[in-house]
Amino acid sequence: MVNKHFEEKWELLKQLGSTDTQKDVIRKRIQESIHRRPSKTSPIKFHQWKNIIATSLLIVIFGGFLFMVMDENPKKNDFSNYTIDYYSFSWKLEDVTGKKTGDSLELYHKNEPIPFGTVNEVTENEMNTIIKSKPMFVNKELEHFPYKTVMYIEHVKMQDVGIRYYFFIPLTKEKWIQYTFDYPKIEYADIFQAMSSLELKGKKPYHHDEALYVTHGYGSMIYPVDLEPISVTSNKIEVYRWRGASTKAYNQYLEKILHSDSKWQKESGEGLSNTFASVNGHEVITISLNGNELTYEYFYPNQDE
Amino acid sequence: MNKDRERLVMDWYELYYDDIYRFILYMIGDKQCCEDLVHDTFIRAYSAIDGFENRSAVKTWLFSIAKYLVIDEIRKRKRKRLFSTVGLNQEIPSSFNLEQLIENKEFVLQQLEKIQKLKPNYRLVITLKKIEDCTTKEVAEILDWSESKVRKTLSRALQSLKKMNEIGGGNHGE
Repeated sequence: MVNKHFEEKWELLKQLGSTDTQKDVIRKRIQESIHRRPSKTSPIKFHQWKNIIATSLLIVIFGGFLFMVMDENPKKNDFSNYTIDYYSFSWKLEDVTGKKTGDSLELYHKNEPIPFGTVNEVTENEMNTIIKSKPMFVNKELEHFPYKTVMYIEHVKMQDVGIRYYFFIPLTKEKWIQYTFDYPKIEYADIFQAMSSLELKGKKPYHHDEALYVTHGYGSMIYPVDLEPISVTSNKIEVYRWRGASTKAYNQYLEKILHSDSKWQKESGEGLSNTFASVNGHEVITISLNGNELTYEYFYPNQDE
Repeated sequence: MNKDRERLVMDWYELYYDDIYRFILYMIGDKQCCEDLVHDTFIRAYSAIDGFENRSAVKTWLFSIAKYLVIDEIRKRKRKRLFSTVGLNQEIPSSFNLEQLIENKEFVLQQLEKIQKLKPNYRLVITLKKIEDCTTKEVAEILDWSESKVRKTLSRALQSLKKMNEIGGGNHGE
């Protein structure tokens, strides 16, 4: 009898599955990925030509670098003189440069050759096409930001880009400005620092008179928007410089974690080091303030072998 | 040639999508990540199709690919907090039997959550054997274990799950 019940239990678990819509979306993604892949139809011919192709590629790459070196350096920092169709902007993100390519402005970390993001002006139709044509997994309007800001997150899954953040800000009835940021080329904290301190020339920003916190897109832990990464490594410890650090700000932050939603509870700690556990038991985070350095230490109790 | 490969993989997708999706969902417990890994499984199959020698069944081969991806994901999660837990309540599939929804939804989600708390090896063997109905031989092939190891690990995994249910007051069918 017990065995029969046990087997019925497994039958129940087999019901868990996906919807037809999800299946259609994944099918489309697979087909798109397959079509984007390089053709493998003529491996022998490719082998014969690969030395020539490799040499040509090297020439193009070195030529490109040479051109970049000879070309004017990318513009620096706050873009106060830079205009994308009448608009320029500034933010508190430091050591960033921009370079115009076609209609787009590419964003670079200082001295880095690969862009981490872009800025574009788009029409509402273009924006909707972008949103519909990409595998977007998060859609959220960011509250109390300087401008009405809608965020989307695309799962890119390229070798050097895991996810791409899109932020859309309306300029006029028809025009939007679009910012994209590629994680992990740029850290979460930098992305939100940039967008929360954005000022578009000629468009007055809203300044929220209380501390602003965001989740980083995924997860339920909130973070102050004015964090600057000092050390974000893969060993579960992240250290940030917190612009607005103070004991009062720290205590307000802890209060906000506990009261903004019911997903976290305090586990232990006092003073400037406190530990919170997610209600579902999957995550434990210790948050400590030392001077203006805010440290997060992450534990995943249920995911260890 | 590429068209043939694509057609073959998309045929497999139609046939085995549900199995692969459910397997990954029980291993990872996160719908968004699950969708990514289902995508990756079939893309890997497309890339590696030339090396598939038909010595195993297609389904077994696809499970093997998915297994590598989920184990890799579990390792990544230990190191990185990207894609941390998303509320399970948002993950209830809408294709669920609505008449059973109220009575069983909670139980199924509880079990899904409990399975997430098992060691990855336990998760693998329970999901493949009890939910995906693979034979011991198939599970051994997918996991590259001996059949004896499959049996022993399954027994321990079931014990572990049973204990969790007893502690957590799981009373459905027990």
